[in-house]
Amino acid sequence: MATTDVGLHDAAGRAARVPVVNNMSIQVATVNGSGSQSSNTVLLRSIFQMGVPVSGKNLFPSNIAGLPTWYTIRANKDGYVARKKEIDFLIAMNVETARDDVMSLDPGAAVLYDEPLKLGSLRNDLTFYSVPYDKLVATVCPEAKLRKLVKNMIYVGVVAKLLDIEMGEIEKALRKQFAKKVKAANLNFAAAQAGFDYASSSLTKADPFRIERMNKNVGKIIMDGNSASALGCVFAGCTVLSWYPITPSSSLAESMIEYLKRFRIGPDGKATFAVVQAEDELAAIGMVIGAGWAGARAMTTTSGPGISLMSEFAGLSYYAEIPAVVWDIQRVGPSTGLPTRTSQADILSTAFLSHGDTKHIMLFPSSPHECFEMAMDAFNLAEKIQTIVFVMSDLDLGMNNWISDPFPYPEKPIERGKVLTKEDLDKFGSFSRYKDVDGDAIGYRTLPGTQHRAAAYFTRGSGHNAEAQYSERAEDYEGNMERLRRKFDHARSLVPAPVIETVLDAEIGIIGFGSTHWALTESRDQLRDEHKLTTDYLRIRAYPFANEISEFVRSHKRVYVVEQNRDAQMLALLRLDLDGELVPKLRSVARLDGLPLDARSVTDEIAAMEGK
Amino acid sequence: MATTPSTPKTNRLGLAVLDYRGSKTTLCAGCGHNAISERIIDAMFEMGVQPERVAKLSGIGCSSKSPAYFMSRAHSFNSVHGRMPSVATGAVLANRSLMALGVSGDGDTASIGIGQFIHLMRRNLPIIYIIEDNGVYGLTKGQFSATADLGSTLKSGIANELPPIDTCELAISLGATFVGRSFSGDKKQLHSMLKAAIAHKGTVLLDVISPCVTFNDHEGSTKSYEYALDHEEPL
Repeated sequence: MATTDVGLHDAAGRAARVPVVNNMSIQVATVNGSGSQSSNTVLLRSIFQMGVPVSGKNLFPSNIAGLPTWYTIRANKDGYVARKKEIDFLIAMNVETARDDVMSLDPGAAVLYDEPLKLGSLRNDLTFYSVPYDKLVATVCPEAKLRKLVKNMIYVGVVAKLLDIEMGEIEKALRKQFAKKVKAANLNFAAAQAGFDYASSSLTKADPFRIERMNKNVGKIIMDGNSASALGCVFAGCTVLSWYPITPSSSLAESMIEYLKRFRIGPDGKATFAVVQAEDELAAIGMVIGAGWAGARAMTTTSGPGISLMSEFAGLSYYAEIPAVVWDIQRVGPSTGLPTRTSQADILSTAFLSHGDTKHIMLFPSSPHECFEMAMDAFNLAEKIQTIVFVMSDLDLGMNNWISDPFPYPEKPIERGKVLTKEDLDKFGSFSRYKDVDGDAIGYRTLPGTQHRAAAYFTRGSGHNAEAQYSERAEDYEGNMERLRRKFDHARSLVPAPVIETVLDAEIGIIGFGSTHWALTESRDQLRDEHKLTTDYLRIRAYPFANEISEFVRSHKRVYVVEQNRDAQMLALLRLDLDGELVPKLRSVARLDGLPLDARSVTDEIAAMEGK
Repeated sequence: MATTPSTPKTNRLGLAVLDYRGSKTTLCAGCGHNAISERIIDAMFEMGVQPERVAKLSGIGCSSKSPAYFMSRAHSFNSVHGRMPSVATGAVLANRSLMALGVSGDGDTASIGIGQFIHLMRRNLPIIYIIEDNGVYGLTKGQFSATADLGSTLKSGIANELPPIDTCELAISLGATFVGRSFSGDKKQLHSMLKAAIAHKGTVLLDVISPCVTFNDHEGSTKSYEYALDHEEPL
């Protein structure tokens, strides 16, 4: 019995501990396909609704049903939303992993387990609560085949009681989750209530963890990065989406299809967009390039293996100067790698994707908010610079739930770049597609279908001169490649600038990018509070690198480049770009465990390298 | 009408055949592809297609160079090997008033591009897809392609040991709405087929036997002028 377990630990004096309020990490260990996602989302939302900063991270296998899955919810009064390494409250539902899950906890943690698992005797430095799920679910769910799905809602009620999460908020979150499915909502709420009632009558609170109402989420929303990216693309005027399903990018395409159906139907009831689920990633990017050539804002979304397949077309976009947008929701490679784990390891391969001398613009969003905003940046840059633009998101950012400020309605009109219309041609008579008329290395283009006899030009991936004619002449080739180099350099001043946070007199700097921003924010506080080490921080938001990045390195003694890959790819890219004298200042903190980055790992590594 | 004999004939748009011409060909003299370019010019002129409404697309190879040799007033895109179908698909999705004319070869279609070809046939978008089919890789100097017939030989005498892929049969099995096979040497038939293709709403596949005079016009080839003339059965 649970009460007996609790009694044991009471005897060890553990109940007397100081309460830990709004600062904990809850982990739900389950098997995938068991329907726990709804329960976990309800828990996350309830805490959110109580005004406490919270984040949810799903660590799931590349499988549909039956393999271990962990969902971590972190509530933190100070707003730290990165993954926390240490688990405070374990909900052990998976018989396969329960033992290991319990043994890996730090002393002082609490464990809620399914009674038959009999975990209570494994350790005496934890608080154990046991719940007879099967008995409880049978009372609320007469239909046996539904019990498996409803069972998980019981722990939501138990946790609500143990952690002081208000049942009113649980109900609100649950009804939002099940939306129009009222019957399912009623059944699930009954299960949560049964869990709550059981905990009230049979469990004695013996751990220190509590949720207490705060006021930190006013006006905020919860959203995953892929949905935010999709919405951003719709707002940015994207009308052609071609894609090939691949984890973790599929949900971006799928949300976008939903948004397009909702917001992009013309007055005649017809779609003003086109979506193709292509036969493979080569076709997906081929369609994007065809559509971009013909004047549409077009995009595809993929992950590492797809990026590899798109290599040849990426070079075509670069060399023939055709706008295209590609979202790379990075996962762990090489090859198939770990398809459901996160990484930042496509940086180098994407920067130079394709053969010959190529360089590509990359954007690095770090939040759903930036996913939304950078969608607009990506399309504007692709059309202004007439090239392929990669938005480098990742699985952690794309698929997990994040607290976010609402997205602002775009204030500026979209920028279509240098496109000559029939009227322009009437005025000028003719044009040279690849001639640098304005000194910014960007030529003027026309779109197929422009009704002017001088509008047409010949697009090709083979050598060409300023008039877009086939040419193998050395001076044409060199001139063109030199112009492309200048064009790429010009992009430095057009891409999103880095975000820099400085403190007084910091000697060391930290450079990060993308979703690891949240762990770095927390790590900087840990370095300051635990090691008296103040740091300045620069968050890269785009490649080619803005000039501020080199200045940042110059003005610090040592600069730690933090990233999620083995080979310090961003550092390598910086090394290629920075003045040689700055390179020795760079230090690498590169991690590749496939899990969302946690602050503690970074703090410990930097502290050690700083001799602390 | 008081016309002078030197006034060129014009179509319904008031355009002359000259308005449908392209750059000078750089293909070999006698190449079947040049004849196909000529037929495209004539058919487009006669059907009164506004050149600016046409988007010419191709992959890589001798055949894929040919869009430069007709209709200079239409935008053109010489893309990557075997992937023209996807680029053409993107273009017609972006601008639904375009008429897409894709030119490919047998290597570009039946070898490297078979996947995209198959999926293009399934979608029935408004794209005319012409295979300039000579059974051989010309630009890399005469290797077999996947439409080369079993037992047909290279110039060196080496015989093809694999059965050919019949692109027309494949297209029909995939539900293509217009499938035709012609011969670059049959001016009349190809001309009418192209006109019918232009009139068709949906995807058109035209497989045009187009002999390679340099690498596949010898005895033992089943894609030579002589063989084609002997075996052609015009409908």
